[in-house]
Parts: sequence; C-alpha cells; structure tokens
Amino acid sequence: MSAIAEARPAARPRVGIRPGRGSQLLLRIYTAAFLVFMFAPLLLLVIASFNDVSPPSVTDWRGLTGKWYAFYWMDEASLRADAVLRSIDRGRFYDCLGNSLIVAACVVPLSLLLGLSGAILLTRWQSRFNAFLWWVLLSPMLAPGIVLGLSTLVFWGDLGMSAGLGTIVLAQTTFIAGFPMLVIMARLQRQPPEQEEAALDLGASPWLAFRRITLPYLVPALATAGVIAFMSSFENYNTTMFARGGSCTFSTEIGAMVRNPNGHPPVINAVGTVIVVLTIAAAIGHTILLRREQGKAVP
Amino acid sequence: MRRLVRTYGGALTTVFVFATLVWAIMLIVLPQLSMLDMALRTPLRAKDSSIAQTVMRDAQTCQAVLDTYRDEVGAAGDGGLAVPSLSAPPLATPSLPSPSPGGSGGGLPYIIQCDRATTAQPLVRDAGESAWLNTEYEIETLAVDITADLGTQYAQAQAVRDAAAALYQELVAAEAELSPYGFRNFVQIFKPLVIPLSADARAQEAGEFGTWVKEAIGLRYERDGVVYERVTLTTLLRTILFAAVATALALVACYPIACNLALRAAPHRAVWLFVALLVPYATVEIMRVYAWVTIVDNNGLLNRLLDLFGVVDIEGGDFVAFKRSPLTVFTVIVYTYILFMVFPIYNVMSTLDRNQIEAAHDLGSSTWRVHRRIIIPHAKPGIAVGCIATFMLSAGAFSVPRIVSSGLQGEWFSQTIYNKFFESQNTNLGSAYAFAYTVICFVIVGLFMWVMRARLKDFMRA
Repeated sequence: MSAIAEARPAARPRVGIRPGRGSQLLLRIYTAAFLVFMFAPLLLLVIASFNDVSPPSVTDWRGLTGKWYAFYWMDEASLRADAVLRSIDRGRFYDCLGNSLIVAACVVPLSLLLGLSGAILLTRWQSRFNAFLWWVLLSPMLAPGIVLGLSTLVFWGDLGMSAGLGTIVLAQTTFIAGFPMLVIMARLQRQPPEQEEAALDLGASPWLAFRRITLPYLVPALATAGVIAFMSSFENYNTTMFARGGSCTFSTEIGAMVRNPNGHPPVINAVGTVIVVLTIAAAIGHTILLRREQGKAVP
Repeated sequence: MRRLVRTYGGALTTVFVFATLVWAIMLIVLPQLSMLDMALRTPLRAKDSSIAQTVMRDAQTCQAVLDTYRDEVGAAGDGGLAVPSLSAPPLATPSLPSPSPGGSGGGLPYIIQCDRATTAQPLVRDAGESAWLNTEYEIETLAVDITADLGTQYAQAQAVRDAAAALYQELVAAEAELSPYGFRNFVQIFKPLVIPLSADARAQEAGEFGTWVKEAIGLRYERDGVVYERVTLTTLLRTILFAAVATALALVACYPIACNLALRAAPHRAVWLFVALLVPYATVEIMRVYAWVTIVDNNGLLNRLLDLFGVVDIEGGDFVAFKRSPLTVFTVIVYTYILFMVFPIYNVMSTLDRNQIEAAHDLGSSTWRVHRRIIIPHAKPGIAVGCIATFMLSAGAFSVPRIVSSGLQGEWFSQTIYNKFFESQNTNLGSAYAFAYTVICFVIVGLFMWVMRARLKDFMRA
C-alpha cells in the first residue's frame, strides 16, 4: 500500500522478457488504451472547466471563459452580477478548505508519531504478541473506511465528544497512521543494528543515539510518509463523511456541491484542473529527483 | 522489551509503547467494541416501554392542545361557550358554534395526538408476529373519542395518560432487569420487504435475469400475490459480488501494465509510463469520481453521443439514466481504484532478477511458461496485496455511489449504512450493519490470504 514510497522507476540495462514482435506491439497498444481510459475523464474535466456553460459540459460548447477560475478571487460586485456564481457560497468553500488543512496539520504529525512507534515496536520487539499487534494495527487499513468513521463517532460520542473536526482527526488517524508505519518499517528493517550498537558502546546515551543515528537514517522514510499521510488526509471522503458531524472539509464540500440538485457549477472543474496540474507537476518533480539521486548513486 | 529499553532508553521506549497502546486501544479496539455494543442493543424506540411512553406523551399533548383550544375559545367567549371545568360534568351543548368546518362533533378540530392516544397500540415485533400494548400487558382498552366534546376528551386523555404512565414505569423497571443485548438488529439484514408492483411492472421484471437470480437464491419471492424482497441482503450481496468482480477485472487489466512497467519497456519509456500512471493515482479521489459525472449525466457525454447516433432523443425526454444504474457505479469504482492494483504488483515484480527470465528463455521456455513459472510466483505477494486493497476499497466505496448517482438509491451497502445512521437516525441498526459488514469483509480477506498463502508482512513490500 505504500506504493508511492517504494515505487521507483529503476534505471537498468535493457534486459527483459524477449517478446515476439507481434506481442510487443499488442502490449504497446494495450498500454496506450489503458492510459486513454485513465486520462480521458480527467481531460474532459479540464476541457469543461473552460466552457462557458453550467452545469459543465463538453458537448455543448458556448465559448471559452476563465470565469470559473476567476470565481475564486473576483470581487463581490462582479460575483453578484453573474447568475450562476452568485448562488455559490464562496466563503463556505474557503472555510472547508481551511478545515481540511487544519485536519491534515493534526493528522500528519499524529500519524507519524503513531506510525513510528508501531514500526519500532513491531521490528525491534520480539514477543509472542507481535503477530497479534500486526493484525490490530493493520486492521483499520483493511476495514471499510466508513466503518472507521462510524465507530469513532459512536465511541467518542459516548465519551462526550461531539462530532466535528476532532472526530475527523481521530477517525482519519486511525487508518492513516498505518501508511507511515509500513514505510518506516520497510526502512527500519534495512538499518544495520550495528550502527546503534556502536554508538551505544562508544558511550552515547540512548536518546543521543536515536537522535543522531536512527532519526537521520529514517528522515527519507518520514518525509515520504508525511506526504502520503497529508494526501490521504486531504482527499479522504468516506471516513470523513461519517465522522464530520456538522463541519465540512474540502472533499465533503466538493461532494455537496456536486450533489446540488440544481446542477453542479463548473467552478468544481476549475478546482479539479488546478489539482490535476499540481499532481502532474509533483509526479514529474518526484521522478526527476529520483533519477538525479540514482544518477549520483550509480555513476 | 529489555532490548528495546537498552537501545532506546526508558523515556523513548515509554513514549513508543504508550503511543502504540493509545492507537491500538483508544482508536481501534474500543471504538469497534462500542460499535458492537451499540449494535447488540435493541433500538430504544422499538422497546415496549418506549411505546407506552409515546402513548403517554400523545395523551399529554392531546390535553395541552385541548387546553389551548379551550383558552382561545374561552377568551373569544361570546357567551355561547361555557368553560368546562374538570370537576364538573362535561357540558355537551349541541348548539355550540363550530369554528372549524373540518372539525368533528363537539366543535373541535381534528387533533392527531388525541386520535393516537389509545392503549390499543401496536408493538414493534419481528416479521409475522403482532402484539398490542393493551392485550400484551392486560390493561384496560382506553381511547379518546375524537367525536366527543372537549371535556370528555380531556378526561379520556387523562385516563389514557395515567394508564400509560403506570405501565411505562412498570416496563422500564422490568426491562432494566433483562439483558439489553440481542441479535435483533443483525437479523434485520434478512428482513423481507413488500415491493409494491403494478401487474405490468411485475410482468416486465419477471423476464429479467436479475429477478431470476434473486428468486433462485431466495432473495425474492411471491406470497399471496404480493412480491417480497430481502432488500438489505440483496444490496449487501450485490456489493460484495461487484467488489469481487471489480477486483478480478482490475487484476486482469493491470497485470500486463505492471509487467510492461517492471520488465519490458525500455528505461526511458518506463519512466514516462510510471509518471503517467502516477498522475491519476495521486489525483484527489473525489475529483476522479467527479470527472465521471459529466460523462454519465442524463445530459452528459454518453447520452449526447447516443443522441447523435439517434439511439435516444434527449430533447424529447428520452435518455438512458446511467446515473441510476448499479453498472455505472461499478464502472466508476473500477476506474477509481484500479491503480491500487498496478503499484503493489509493480513494486514486487521489479525486484525480480531478470537473469532468471533470460535463463528460462535460453532454455527454451515459452513466454506463457515464463509467466506461470517465474514471474507470477515471484509477484504473488504483490498480487495478493493489490487484490486486497482493490477489494476493500471497492467494497467500502462510498464516494462513488454518492457522487455519481447523487444518492438516488442505495446501490452500494455503504449507502445503506449511511442512510440507516444519518437519514433514519437508527444508530443501533446502522452499527449492526456496519459491524456485520466489517466481519464479512474480514472473513473474505482472511480466506483470500489463506488461499494465496499471503502474510501481513507482504504489505510492507508492496
């Protein structure tokens, strides 16, 4: 599940399956078709964001416009002048977006702490409870997201906590902490135990050894885990919908806007386009960084 | 544990153990247990005591409304109306002017609480049984005669209220003695519901394949000319079946992609393929789902295309309601979660030593044999993890049915749970559904892992 963390395109010599000409061509065509299937909906989303019609459409072209983007910064007067835009609550959207960032700001450090603790206990503590602990800590990642939201709501409601951002944070942390745990464990297992032992033998206190040896060693894993945790928290819809009470996050607000019975406005497409562009930039950046790193490692 | 303390010191070890325990107990185990507790309790409003309480409250409200009414008329008092006092016998004056044309005898309008205030009240029982408050607990059959005049109604309501209040106290005490737990909520999953169908609709549905399947496995049956269907169970089974099919489809679709990415494509091409797959994988989930709304809308791309070819006529109000079809939900779920299959397989597959493949080819193996004997066995942990991730995401999908079909109907079991919890406010039943669903999914995943001989540690590699 820690796909992004571990997935890295490897630079390697051209040795592989020796396929026949025909099957090679077939595989290429299939891969291209698969990519078309994956990208076509996103492309339509982007195209519709420039079309001057609401609800968004790609078939009914009414001219190029940038107003679905301008919605996010235009002044009140021009907002009121537009028949479609004036019915959308921009302030609420920004509040929800802010909520998402607040939630992520709590979930990321919390899940890093829990993930790190779980990873250290599972790799360094050999006991018969180990297998049991594995099951318990990984079970939220295997459970349907809605159930986590529900159980958090029920349990913390009994303890007197009303549904809101607090329950969202707790519900999300329950399963998001699993991602850092897996990523950190994968790296911890590759750490030679001699490093720590040498530091301890040379008189370092355990805290110093942890801070100077283990923590720096784990930094790449922690960074990856933090990014994964942030993205999981930000995009989460299923768990959040059940735990949210009356509050909203970016995803739930987009969902509410889409479900508007009077037609969903293309401003959602505008946000979607921004997200797609950011994702493309991040994916390319990630790959370039990785290649540069590999270039250094293998001269 | 001693080794932990030696390596990390007492303070750090305490922090790690404490954090893990908080996670395991406060965030995972106790919430599930409290949900189970909730699931095993009978919903408050289904209890007999709660029925008695409702009768009591209805009688009380009836009296309050009567009071208000008396005050109003009394204040308006044009001499014709005497204020009835409780101690005095009720005044029945047939000549009383009737202020409300819809009102019944006694010049009173219809007061629903007075009508409902009767001890002959049906109790909540399982299908096929019926019981009544007055006969079950052998109390006097009392009711408010809504055709009577104000004073009589008031007195009757008082009698109902007293009887119900006494019974309520008695029942609450009795129920406190009993165990509050039972499997009633879980049994509700199997409950058949009457499907009201016109003769035409029934004839039409009788020919459908889905109907035939449902009848064959007992999800739908006909008794005394009425069609019954186990709606909840049908949704549950359909969700799991669709999730399993989606997983199988994703595996078949993604295996060649993962192979291509990990073993076949030239390095520079593999990098770009990787980036291209990463983009839809990392895009915010809700946007991937939303991207389909424009396609499957009643006025969307698909219908426009069909319109172009003259299959449908959108202006004429004729279109294919893709939004209402479980198959659309299925397609979008496959689209949304398919890449969770590619990356785990790729991660494990790329660790394969390619010399093995070379050697096999040199020794004359066919491509098919290389896959069967070398690549698939090596990639098995990745395949297992990919399947589990895709299955659980599909089975638990909530965003897709909710966004794509705008919640028009409950095609997916997650929606059924949501509706029970938040729309009909029945937390006990909702908890029972959610808990049962989790158990079913875990059993399926557990069986799958056993068959694949996969272990939890594989999650770290994939």
